[in-house]
Amino acid sequence: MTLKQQWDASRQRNEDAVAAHADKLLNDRRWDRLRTRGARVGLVVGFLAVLVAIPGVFVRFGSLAGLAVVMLGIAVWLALRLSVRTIADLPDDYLDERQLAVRNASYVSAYRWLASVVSVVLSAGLVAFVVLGEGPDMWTVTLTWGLVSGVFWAMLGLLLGLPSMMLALQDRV
Amino acid sequence: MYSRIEQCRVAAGLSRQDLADAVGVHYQTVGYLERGEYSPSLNLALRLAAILDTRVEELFSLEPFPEEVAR
Repeated sequence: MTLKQQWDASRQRNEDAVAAHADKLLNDRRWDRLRTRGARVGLVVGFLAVLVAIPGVFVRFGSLAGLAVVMLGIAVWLALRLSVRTIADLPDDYLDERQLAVRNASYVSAYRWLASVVSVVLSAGLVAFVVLGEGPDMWTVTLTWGLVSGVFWAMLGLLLGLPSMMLALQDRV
Repeated sequence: MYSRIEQCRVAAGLSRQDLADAVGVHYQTVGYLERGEYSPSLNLALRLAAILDTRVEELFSLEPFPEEVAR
């Protein structure tokens, strides 16, 4: 067997494994309890609550407690992905045309929400800076390791989880 | 949109999963098609018609089918 044949065979095995995994994720009915309207809304609310809590826990209770909350967030995120059959994350080839349309619409919603949230937070920060500061460059923000870690994990969670949250709220998968 | 997929599928003795596998979509999508909650692409509509051995206009309509009007 030539090197190219070995490479092709290896690639085919990999593609078959991914296809089998995707098929299992899309058709696995063991997680149907997570796919009710109430369960999906609960997972979205729970995930948002964890994201909001992460920076506060990092700042107030330290890195170890913060990482524990991050682990909790990862568990909720995995459950959220299962509740929407991981459609937000699967490659196009494994989705049918309706699933693709729903997935694409969820990414549009996710982008709009992200843009809105970031715009509001940045605008509020700017206004607070002007209102609370006594003049230009009179207000100092101290960046600590806990604060940076907390904001990093919360933003990462928001970026990774937003498309699945939109899918869960649309309730069409 | 109105759909007669369910009647044709049952007449053909197929389950939703059978039909989904035959046309290459998820079983949920067949449910959405049967309830008229999703308008398929022309490609999928033609594949459905071929599998169910009927014509596309017998499967889908913008107006209620006569039997639905009668109900």
